[in-house]
Amino acid sequence: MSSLALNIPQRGPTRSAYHVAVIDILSGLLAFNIWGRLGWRDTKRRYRRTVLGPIWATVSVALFVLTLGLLWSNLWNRDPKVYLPYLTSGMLCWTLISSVCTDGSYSYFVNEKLIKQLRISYTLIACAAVWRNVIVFLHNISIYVLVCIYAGVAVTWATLLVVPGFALLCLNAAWIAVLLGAVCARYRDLLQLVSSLLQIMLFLTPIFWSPDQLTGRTALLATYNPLYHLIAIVRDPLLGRAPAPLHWVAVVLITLAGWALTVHVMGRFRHRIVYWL
Amino acid sequence: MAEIVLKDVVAEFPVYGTQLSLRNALFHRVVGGVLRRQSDAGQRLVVRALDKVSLTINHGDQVGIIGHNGAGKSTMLRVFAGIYEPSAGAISIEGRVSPLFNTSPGLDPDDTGYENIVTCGLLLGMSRAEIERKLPEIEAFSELSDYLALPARTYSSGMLVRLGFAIATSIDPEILLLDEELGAGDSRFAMHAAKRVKALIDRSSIMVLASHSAELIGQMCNRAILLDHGRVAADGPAKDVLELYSRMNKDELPAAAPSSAEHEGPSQAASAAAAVV
Repeated sequence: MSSLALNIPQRGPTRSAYHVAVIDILSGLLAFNIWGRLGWRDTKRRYRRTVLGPIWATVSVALFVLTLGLLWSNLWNRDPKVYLPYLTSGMLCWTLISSVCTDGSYSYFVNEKLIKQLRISYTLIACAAVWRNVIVFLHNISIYVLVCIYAGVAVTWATLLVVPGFALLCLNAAWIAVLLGAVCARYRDLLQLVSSLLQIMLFLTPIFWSPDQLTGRTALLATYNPLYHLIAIVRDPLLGRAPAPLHWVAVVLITLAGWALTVHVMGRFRHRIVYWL
Repeated sequence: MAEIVLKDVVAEFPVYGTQLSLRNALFHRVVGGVLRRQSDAGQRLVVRALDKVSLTINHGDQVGIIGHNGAGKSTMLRVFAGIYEPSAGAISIEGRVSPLFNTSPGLDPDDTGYENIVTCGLLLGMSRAEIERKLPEIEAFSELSDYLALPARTYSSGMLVRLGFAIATSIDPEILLLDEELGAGDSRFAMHAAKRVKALIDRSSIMVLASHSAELIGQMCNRAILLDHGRVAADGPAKDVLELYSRMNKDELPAAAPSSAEHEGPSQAASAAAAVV
């Protein structure tokens, strides 16, 4: 499968552009031996010659969560033993999503040389960007473990749901990276737009606050926010409770719609991307 | 049987300026018809690098593509590799394509020589076992010995070329595409390298080499294609085409002789036919 991902067949009389897009996506997702290596190498490179290595990312998230968590639980009169696990687990998921969005939108530029040498799967390149951030997420989990010990968060059967939840989150991260890479290659303005939107979404998504604090119409802010559902299916199990069925349904729909959109865009424009770089 | 067939292939590069950004795309959506046609006529600039090229390359052909800078040599190779898909016309390729345009896809200066051998090997479509098997040969050919355990950033540029070259030429290609940039280090190594390229060519069923050196093509190829402004000016036995090429150069030289600086301008302007569509 990995050799297919490095040599995507061309369009032809018997193979439509959408067929090629699907081959790109499937072979790219399955070429884990290659994106695994590329993603891991990027992680090493980013922290080379630092003493702490990838732990630096963890340290910065830890400082952020700790200071904000203690300050805001005080301001809002919330028990830090309840607020801190909530904030930390939400923040870990948010960090993953937002860094996949930024890295994903740059991933095709960064690998321009590779794209102009090989008929490589774009999905493979996007997956390397996702994997790099999953590695950081796995490092960051250590913060959450410490917070759990401090706050006494119970480990229950529902905690196991973190596995399918996280798998779904990654599957969504992958289409986001594939899609953003393509549209950002064409419209450079989107690079800026993505980073400003992410900043706003951090505050509009229930991470610092919980959706039950909203009343009336503003509650829609949570219900119709796809990021809320994506975060909830990982955060709730981490907090030891099963996510509401609504979240699962929403995430499955988001996954299907996202990949459908990605297949559509890649089908129409995959062959143009290299001209845009 | 390996085969490459091109029929009326056109390759055009869009030239994106600041004016053709998201702002305009949105503006077009809102404003609609009339403005779009007006501004498109004025702004949509494309460079036509290949103009209605039709040719067939058969099993056993060793083809040299020759022409001046910007005649479309590299573009043609990349069309064969499927990297640039034609904007018009049809292409069909049978056989596995191995493009060697620059020596080392995915070479990372921070990784050691050994790590780079594995990464580049994987990207060139080799399996781990294959890389293991070829490692002694790559080690010996690169002549880097102990340096292979050091990060590639400590290498001299000649050493980097040797490493990339050793990896790139260890593959077993079916259709081999070579760009002239694949030059190699000092003169002793160059001789060494020529032998290895020869062996690589003998292992492949089709070889295409792009170069502006008539000498190189004379040595390596049995057929030559002369490109001029993106069109096939001549196609036939290497000897005949090279003769035509040298005659063409002689005809042009007297006019260019008075000032080499002046010659620079028109030759580049003419190097690709820019068309306003």
